Amino acid sequence: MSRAHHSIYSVAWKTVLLVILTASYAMALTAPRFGPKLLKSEETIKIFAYQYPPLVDLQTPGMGIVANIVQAAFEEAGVDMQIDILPVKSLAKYSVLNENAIAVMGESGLFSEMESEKLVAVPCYEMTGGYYYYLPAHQEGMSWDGDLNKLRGYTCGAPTGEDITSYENASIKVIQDDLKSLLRKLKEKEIDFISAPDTVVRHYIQKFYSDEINNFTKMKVSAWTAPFSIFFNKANPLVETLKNAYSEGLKEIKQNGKYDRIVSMYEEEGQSQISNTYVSDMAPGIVEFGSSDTPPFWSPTLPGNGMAGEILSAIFAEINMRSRILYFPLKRLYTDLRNNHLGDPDNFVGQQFSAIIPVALYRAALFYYKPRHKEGIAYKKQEDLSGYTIGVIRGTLEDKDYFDKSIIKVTEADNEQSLFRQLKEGRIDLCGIIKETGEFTIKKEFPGEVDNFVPIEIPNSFGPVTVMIDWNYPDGKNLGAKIDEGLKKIIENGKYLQILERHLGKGKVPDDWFVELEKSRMKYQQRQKN
Amino acid sequence: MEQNRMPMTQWSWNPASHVPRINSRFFTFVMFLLLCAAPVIGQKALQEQKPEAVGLSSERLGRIDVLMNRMVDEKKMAGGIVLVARQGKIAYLKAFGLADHGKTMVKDTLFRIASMSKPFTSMAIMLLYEEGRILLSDPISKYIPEFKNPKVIEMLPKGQNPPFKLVPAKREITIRDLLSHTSGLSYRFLANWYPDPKHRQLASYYKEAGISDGLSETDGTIGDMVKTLARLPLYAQPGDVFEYGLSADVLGYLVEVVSGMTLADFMHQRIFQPLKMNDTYFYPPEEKLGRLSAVWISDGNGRIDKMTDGIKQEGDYVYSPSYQYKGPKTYYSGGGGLVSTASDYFRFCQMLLNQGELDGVRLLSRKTVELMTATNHIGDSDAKLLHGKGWKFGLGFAIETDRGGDIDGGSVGVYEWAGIFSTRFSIDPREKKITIFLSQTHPFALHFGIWDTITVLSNSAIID
Repeated sequence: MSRAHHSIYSVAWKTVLLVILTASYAMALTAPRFGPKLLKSEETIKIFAYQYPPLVDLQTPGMGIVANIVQAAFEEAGVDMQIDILPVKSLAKYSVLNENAIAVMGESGLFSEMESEKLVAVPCYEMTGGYYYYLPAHQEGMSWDGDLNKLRGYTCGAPTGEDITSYENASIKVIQDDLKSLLRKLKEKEIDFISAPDTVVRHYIQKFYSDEINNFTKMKVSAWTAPFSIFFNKANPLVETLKNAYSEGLKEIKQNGKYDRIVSMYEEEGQSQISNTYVSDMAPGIVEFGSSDTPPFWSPTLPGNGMAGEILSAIFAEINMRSRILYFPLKRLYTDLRNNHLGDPDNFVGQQFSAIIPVALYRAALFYYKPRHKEGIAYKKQEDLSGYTIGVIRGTLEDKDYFDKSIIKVTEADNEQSLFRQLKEGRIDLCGIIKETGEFTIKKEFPGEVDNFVPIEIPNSFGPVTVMIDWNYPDGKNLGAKIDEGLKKIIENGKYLQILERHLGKGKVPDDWFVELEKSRMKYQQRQKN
Repeated sequence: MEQNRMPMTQWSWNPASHVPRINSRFFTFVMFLLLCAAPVIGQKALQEQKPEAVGLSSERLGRIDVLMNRMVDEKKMAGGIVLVARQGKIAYLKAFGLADHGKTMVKDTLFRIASMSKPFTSMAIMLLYEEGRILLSDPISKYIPEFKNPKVIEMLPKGQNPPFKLVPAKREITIRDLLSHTSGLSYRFLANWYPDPKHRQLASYYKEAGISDGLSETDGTIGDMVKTLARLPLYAQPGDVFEYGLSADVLGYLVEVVSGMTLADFMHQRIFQPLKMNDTYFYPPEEKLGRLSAVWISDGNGRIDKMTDGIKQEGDYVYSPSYQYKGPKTYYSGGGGLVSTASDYFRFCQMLLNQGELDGVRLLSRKTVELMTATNHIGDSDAKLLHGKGWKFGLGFAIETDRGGDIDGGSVGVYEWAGIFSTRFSIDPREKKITIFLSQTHPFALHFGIWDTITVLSNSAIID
């Protein structure tokens, strides 16, 4: 899961050609002799990195902004490479300083002056940083005009390893820790403000404090800019070649707009309406799919990528192929019209598919919080919901105007956790969500209160969880037929039921599951024929 | 302590005859009460027996009262519970001191059992093993691919920079390695106990990666942590040495991967429910939190204070008294996350002593229990952490193999373990005896003398 393998072009020809072109120049310098032995390495070029979400992150689609940029640049240059994301900076540094790794990606300041002499840095992304404070602790606001002395007397939280001399010179007390801990200390009023890279701190706030994003406020003047770079190891014989390839590739993707598209993909409010979220890997035998994080069906945090993820793997194992799932926020997924997807086809308006194969089912439900509605909430028709506020996940609301006109108030939340927290706090009366996803979230977030969250199943709301092959995907129809055949096989040999029972419980698979699944299958087969 | 003094009775005593004459009206009243309470007492009577009925001496067990009362008086602990059972019956179960300010310790007080959670995780694994879903020889990478191609820290001669190198592991970590703590995984807090350069280097990696030892409020899930841990170097080559560590947390995640259930759900359905352990949880429900003992800090010299909530850090030891009820409560640590009671833990121990069965419910086969509790899995190494020479390690338990060492559990074959908030248990298959000591005292180091003495007193009570 920690390696991305881009192999659009054959490795041998492009790399050899590139190297031959540079070899003649290189041989005039103190470079080793370039020859087939040296060049025809069977191993893919590996560049190391460390977890630094969202710039480099196993959980972020495309492995993060910078990882994506680097992959795109090398791909443009026709170089086959992998990024190996290590859990800590020190291991990434060790790989390049002590294991002769060819390169590592990282922040400026990663290496000491002495260590830097062994490396050559090529910037790939410019980070901006600022000072953030917690509004409830400083309701009058905090500001500075670029002069740290204006913050004298306050306590600053700075990431471990950051140079704190300037703060000390301005008589600002400094506490150093990792960014996640600093945000906690900021909220707990142990520190007054933190110094943090904008993209990174936004990611953490979104992840851990999504309910109070606006409480974490950036002081007006940006504090600093710094590059995030690839540090090439001068001692490695392939360095010049790769450095040049990367630089050329980076220049190319900046010129052709790919760089900007990658960066905007990760920005908080996506600018592009049609997001080229990813380009399907055309490598033989590996089929890529885009999905939202929807446990228990699809989730990178669950074993086997969740229930439907396990079904997908079992199907692909049966047909001797491999699949890979990339995860995206819902809104972004629904505006991507070019790739294979997983989910409910009705949400992918405007995209054509050569095959849609239902592999599981979901049921929709409304949940309410019993302690706040002791008499319960009955729902038989829409009018029963008058006067209530319903929360839904952002991106799933159809026809907001309709609800605005009726007396059912609807609000949107960024994720399931936030939705159920709002329900518990009484900020909403009901939440509309996939029943299985809701139950999963409740168990995870409120393990001691599972019975307090009551589902009202919406009748006839079985929906399909499908595999969708994009119209433009090569030989998509045949691939679809193979997947359909694979599904049939795993149902017949019992693997399918085993997976279902593992997730839903033994004896808890709804009686009409297979009937509904077949109905769904027939519906989409018919749709494709038409 | 009033509760442990001999109860006042309405007996009139004739010193000449030494036969108490019971006031008849009071006697009738007492009998009435006894009859009303019969179902409850009868139920208790099934479990609690006079010591003499099971070959133990009440008088000798009474020495435990003296010890525990003295420990409370000397403020070496605020309170505690001791249970001694034999032949399936509880012969001694007493509570001493305080659970919390203004709250007396009682028999069903809840305790953070920390590493006494590990035997449950071992059991969960062995349940899957008995179903044929895993083999002990399976490499862990088969289920958690992040463990593929591990590396090991090797220290270099002084003066080198860095002072270590990372070398490929000679083989993969197996499930057996994890059960017996020979995987090479360590704990961050061990750098406090063994401050050698290797432990310190590993601790710094664990700290940098945000690895939780499972003893404090932790964000995320056990899977998040394990997948990160998998890519950090090992302390030693898999299979080479006994190194106590996060192996049980990895096993807890393995249970989740193989079963498709959270560790909490799996343990609840497959272990706690069948054993009728109704007071054992990762995160107790709100209505039971009032029974959770506080954690106390003793200086060993007459001062004891209640520990405040929140995360504490002493060097590389990160812990908290409040992780059972504060924080996200999404993290199920198979190595240290459970809360339990004396009688619940007794039921688990008795099941093991019964070779896998309790009250007609069989959870494990005799052969599996033998493999876990009566088989050495660490070769020539000794289980050094809490014991030393004369002790080996099974699949979740230290096992006494020679009574000639410094630490004597009472019989060859005794198996036991401990929890870092000062909880201990010991099972003696030869004497069919179980001893459990529960308190919530920091630091852990203070409890050794108490436990060693309790062990002696428990063994010395055997009179058959």
